[in-house]
Amino acid sequence: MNRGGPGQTDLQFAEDDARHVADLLGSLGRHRPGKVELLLRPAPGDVQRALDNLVLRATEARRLGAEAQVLFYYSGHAASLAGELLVRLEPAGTVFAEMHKAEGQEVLLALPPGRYAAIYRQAGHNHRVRHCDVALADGHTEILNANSCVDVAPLAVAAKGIGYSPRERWTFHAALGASSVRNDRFIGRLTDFGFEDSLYFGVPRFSLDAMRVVGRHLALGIELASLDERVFRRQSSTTLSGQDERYWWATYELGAFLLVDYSLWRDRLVPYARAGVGLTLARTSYQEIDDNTHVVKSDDGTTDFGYALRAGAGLGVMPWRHVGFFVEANATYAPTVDNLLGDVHDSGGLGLLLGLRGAL
Amino acid sequence: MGSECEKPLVTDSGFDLWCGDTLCDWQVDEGTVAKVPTWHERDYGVELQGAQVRISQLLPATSDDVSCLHFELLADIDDPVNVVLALDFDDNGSIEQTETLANGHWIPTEYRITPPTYFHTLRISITKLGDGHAVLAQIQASSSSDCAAPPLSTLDRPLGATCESEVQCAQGQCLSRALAEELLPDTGTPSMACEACAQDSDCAAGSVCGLGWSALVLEPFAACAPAGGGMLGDRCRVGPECATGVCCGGVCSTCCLDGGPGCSAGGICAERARDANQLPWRAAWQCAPGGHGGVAGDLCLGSDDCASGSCTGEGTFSVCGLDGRLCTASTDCPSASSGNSCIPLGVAGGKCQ
Repeated sequence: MNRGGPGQTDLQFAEDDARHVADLLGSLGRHRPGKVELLLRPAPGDVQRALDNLVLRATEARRLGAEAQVLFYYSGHAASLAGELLVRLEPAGTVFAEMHKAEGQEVLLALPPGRYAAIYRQAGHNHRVRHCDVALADGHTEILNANSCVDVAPLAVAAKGIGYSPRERWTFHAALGASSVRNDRFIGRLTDFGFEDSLYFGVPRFSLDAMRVVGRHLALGIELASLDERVFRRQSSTTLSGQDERYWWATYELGAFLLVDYSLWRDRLVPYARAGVGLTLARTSYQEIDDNTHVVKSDDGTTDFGYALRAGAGLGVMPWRHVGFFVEANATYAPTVDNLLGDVHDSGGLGLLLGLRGAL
Repeated sequence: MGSECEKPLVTDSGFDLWCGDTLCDWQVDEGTVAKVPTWHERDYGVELQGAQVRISQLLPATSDDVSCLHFELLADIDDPVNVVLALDFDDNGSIEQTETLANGHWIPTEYRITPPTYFHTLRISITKLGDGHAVLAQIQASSSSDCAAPPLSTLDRPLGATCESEVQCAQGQCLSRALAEELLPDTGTPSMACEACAQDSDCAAGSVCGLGWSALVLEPFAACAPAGGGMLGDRCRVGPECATGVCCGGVCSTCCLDGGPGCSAGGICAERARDANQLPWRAAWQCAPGGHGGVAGDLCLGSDDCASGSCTGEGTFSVCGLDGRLCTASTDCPSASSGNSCIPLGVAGGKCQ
């Protein structure tokens, strides 16, 4: 009998369940009696002490070359624990597990080096075993929902003195790429006025962004990216004016975005889609250059501002836990550079990025 | 704007060079103009202010190097305003062609105009008529090659000028240009020229209808010339105008392969060697030129033509390298800077000793 707290009913079979699991571990699991510790109606601190003891024994077993496997089962009300279980795989391979929160009658069992089983009991159902296929790395802490095995938002565990960090919460992208050359009305106007494009290939781009995981499949990020860089020239050989003219601009974006991903193959493949908005800044320069001496006679610079809408889809490839690669195709609309005639150049376009992906 | 193959002709076609309040390379013939920004603060255009304004520029274009004119203009012209591009070939005040620019907000406009087959200069002008806003940002004219229209007509063309009808010639007649009148014989592109004569009977006694020259035109033309006055190596149209009596390939020669007199036994009729620049374009035909075969009294151009090794005459015989007219210095040659410089050819009126 496990007595419930205020508003909770007594759990009539909680202790029986615990005994049952202990028996099963002995009979079916063939664990020697000394290897299974059963705590019934533990006093405050008993669970922690038992876990500490468990860790010591597992550490010692590992030191002696044996394979340590730890199973932790909890049955009963755990209102004060409520919801999730914290499991940590220590660098030495030992397991530290603490019932941090357990909701209802759910319990998570950690089976190093990275397989988990959740056993829970629901009214009218028998015991169930749920395997969570989650890879663990040494020295990292995972917080999993015992029911779904999915990550949950980090809890304020620091206050409990538990020095852990959740599974990778930050993702970083650093990329180089190219984008399509957009020839809109603004560009047509430059051509009308005798300027010729000096770029005959895709516009080079860079992109840096950082994302914070805010849900199992959702991240919120910020991005700094170069969108557009173009150089137009009007040669003295066509104007017979004795001076070359050069009009140049570069457009950058600082924006925020939402990213949705879905990890595959133990997080090694991460397809994702993203969409965001941002502010754009374009620096322009109009230069007059002496045809003979090539001295810049004048350089008139201006700054234009605009906005950007951006969406893209990509694939992260993580051969290592913290470092990998990604490729992304995106489309951007960024009306930013304008002229005196009211034409506005869209510095966006279709782009392709290829770069490094980091996860912390 | 113009393609890379097109040679621009207008200086400061973008109205970017200002000397104070006026354009440096354009002439303001009437009214006032002002410097105004166009698409960018630093890219200027010219505003034609007032009801009647005219600007113009003399282009360094001639019929020798322009057979098709490609105009590209960019302007901002209010609806009631009339802006006209006018072409005055030879800058004589007679407008041969006008084009009215389209009204509108920075509308690119282009024209292809086939110029007259003869002109020695071209003035283009832009005229604004009527009150309202009119700004020009670009007026590019370039030498192109894809005109389809027949050439414009001009009058008072000098002798030797290309023509299409007699009314275009200031004097003489518009006749087919003989191969001997061309710089190089070209049977593929027949043309007509203002000629002073058509046959010997057009000339006075002692003269024949031979070749004449004009300082305005590179090509020679049919004109009365003294009979037998042409020396060996001189350009000619017909045999009787040469001292040798033989005009071969447009040059007074001593022999000719093309139906002319041959050489004595053992002699081979050949063109005289050209210099390192392959000049002159037309060379004299001689029996074994440079072969030291000439006996005393034979006509020669160089001492290497004579068995004695000595060819004497009336000094140095020089011609303009391309057109072959007689000269004493390159200043006697039109387009000398374009390769038609005066080059020594040999001994004038030379005879072997």
